[in-house]
Amino acid sequence: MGTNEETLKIALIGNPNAGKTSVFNRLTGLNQTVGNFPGVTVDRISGTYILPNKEKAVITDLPGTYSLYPNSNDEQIVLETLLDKNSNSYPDLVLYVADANNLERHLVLLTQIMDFGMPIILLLNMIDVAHSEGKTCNEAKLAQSLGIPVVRVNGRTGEGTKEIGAVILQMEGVNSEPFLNVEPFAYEVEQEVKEIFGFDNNYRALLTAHNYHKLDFIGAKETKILDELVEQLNFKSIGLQFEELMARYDQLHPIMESMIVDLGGDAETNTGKADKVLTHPFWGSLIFITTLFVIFQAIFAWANYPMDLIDSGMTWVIDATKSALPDGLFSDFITDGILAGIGGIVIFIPQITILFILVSLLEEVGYMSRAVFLSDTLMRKFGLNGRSIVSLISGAACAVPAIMATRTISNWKERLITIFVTPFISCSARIPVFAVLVAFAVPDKTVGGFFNLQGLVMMGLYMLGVFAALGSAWVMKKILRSKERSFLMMELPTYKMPYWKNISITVFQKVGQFITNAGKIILIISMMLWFLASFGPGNTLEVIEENTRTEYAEKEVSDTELNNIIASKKIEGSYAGILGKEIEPVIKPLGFDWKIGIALITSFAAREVFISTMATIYSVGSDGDAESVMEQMRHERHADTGELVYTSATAFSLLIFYVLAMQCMSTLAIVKRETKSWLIPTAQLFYMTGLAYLLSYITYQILS
Amino acid sequence: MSTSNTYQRRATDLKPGESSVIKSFENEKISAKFIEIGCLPKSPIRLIRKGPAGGTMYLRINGNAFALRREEAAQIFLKF
Repeated sequence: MGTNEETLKIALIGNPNAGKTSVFNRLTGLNQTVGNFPGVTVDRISGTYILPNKEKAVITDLPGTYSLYPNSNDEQIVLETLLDKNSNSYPDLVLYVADANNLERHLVLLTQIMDFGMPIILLLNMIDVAHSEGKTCNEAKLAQSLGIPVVRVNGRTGEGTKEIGAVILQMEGVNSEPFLNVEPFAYEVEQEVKEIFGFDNNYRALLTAHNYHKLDFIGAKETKILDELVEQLNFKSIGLQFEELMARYDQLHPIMESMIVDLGGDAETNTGKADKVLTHPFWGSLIFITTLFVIFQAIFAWANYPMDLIDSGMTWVIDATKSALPDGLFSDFITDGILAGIGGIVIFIPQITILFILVSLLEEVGYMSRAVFLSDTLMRKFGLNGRSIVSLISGAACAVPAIMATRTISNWKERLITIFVTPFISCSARIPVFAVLVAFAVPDKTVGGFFNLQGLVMMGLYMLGVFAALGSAWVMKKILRSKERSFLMMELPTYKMPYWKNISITVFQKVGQFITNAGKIILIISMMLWFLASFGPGNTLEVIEENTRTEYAEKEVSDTELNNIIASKKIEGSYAGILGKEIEPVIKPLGFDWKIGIALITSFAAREVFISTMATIYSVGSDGDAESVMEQMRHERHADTGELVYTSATAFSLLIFYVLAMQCMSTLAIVKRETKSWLIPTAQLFYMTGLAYLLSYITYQILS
Repeated sequence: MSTSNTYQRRATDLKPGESSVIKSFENEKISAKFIEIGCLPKSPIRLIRKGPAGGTMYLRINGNAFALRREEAAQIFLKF
């Protein structure tokens, strides 16, 4: 290790709530990149750390775990990284972060890693908190007993950041001595596994025997050999795990006893006092619901200002580009294809940023686990998990990050149901569609002296989404069979003051991830839709343009009006128009005509594209605002019958369709990525759209 | 585990505010999970409160706070 040709690879490991991420942020600052672990969808966050000799080291922040017996996808990463010596991500050195308040438990995982015999440094974090709780720790003695270097760090102040570098350099190839002698646990199995895989380490062999079914680097052939071996030698995995962990505690306990000095502090901690209110069945629930309202309020109201700015900014950019480029196909492609697509991505940034700030703030202060505690019982009735609440809340901004947040749910069935129903929660892309249609169909008046009727209808639409999500979850709970035990064992960490640097780094990363994940798809779809809307079979579009010009040559219309009329006729003759007419018979029972059909298709990029598509179709120009679209909608009549197209029946039918239908390619793509197959996204597409169709049909038939 | 047929007290029998000490766990599979989060035989345990509708329990075990479902808490046998 540490050779000049190769960068030093460091893994940062620790229990959940050890303050690992703060330390990581301290060590690497903003020099972080988010990637993927091979084969799985867990984010791999790495950063650069400059050693005192000016050489670079790459630190990877591994997910927090309690032991090397994984319960979730996240935790499995740690095991795989350490077990497979041939993998590219195998670290040269481990930095182990432990919470000084809770040393004994935090050191169990450390002792497991020590048994691999690799360079490892223990970082003692949060000693300041330990002091305030009346405990202190003698780290020199600890280093001596464990036989590895111990550095005192503080993720909040940056203490120890420099010292770590010096210690890393001294470590050059110094492997830890195994902590526990694991040979007696399963001697024969260990020897056999060592032989099969060429391991030189007993504990590596033992953990392979325990976990081989879950390990990606073990092929089908080896799995079969191990299956036979385990059977033949009567290897009792669960009992041995218990024995091994207990042996670690037994050996750690005397060391800890001599190390930790309890200075005798307050019995009643601040966390305990705060939890009397915050986890109270009534007051706690009330505070939780209020918190949800604040989040919604923030997503709707506060995000409006930056969104308006972005909107007018994008319009300005598009107009400027249009006038700078010569008229023609290329200019159209740049403005309506690419720039419109980019606009469709950046418009979401304010809401997503606000959501991530609030969610990571709640996470950082330690409130999120209380929210899970409060909602688990209710969530379970619907086959979900307390942790699902984080996804359902996030879904109000965007389903893409919400679905990524399901990774902490260890039970596969609960996670699957959460992924499946989260897109029912009305995301921010539906807001503009709701706003236009509600304003169109519902009178702007006050009811009950206080409530705005339009506001109430909006609220109702959100509730419909929530009911659809919970109802579908309940149905899935009944249908899906799972042998896997569902459980919730969650630590409720002490409350901490938020550390803004952590929050800003997290938000920065997550927004970046959203832009690359969902953004790519929105951009591609936007370009495809531009193609569909700009081209027709043969030269139909040129003919349409010429005919329209001749038709209007005598009439008094301004250039802009004429251009808008031409655009509208062209989209009718384009591939998009043809598709819209093609699906008209299918959507007619819902009260939709082919024009709405086109908008339904273009909504696949992002639902809010509905507005700009309608604007183009109704020849108010693609940058036409919502009001002019609404004005057109009021006068639009069916070509054959002369009846108004937009009655309130159509508007409500359309609203319900937009609440329930799966219309988002980005969501489908992320679901595919998280579930590793097209099965779930396909089921989602048909189920959600089918439900939307059914309820829209009923609504339209009743109201019309 | 005890061979006598006397009633085994479980963590779910605790009243809010009541403390006890963990004796053992009902099944092996779950006991490994308890142990890794620091809930061991002989650890002090206290029920802080029950969650809404009583499905979750807020327990303090070995100085750390945990949320457990009733089903998990029922697997913890108490000494007294």
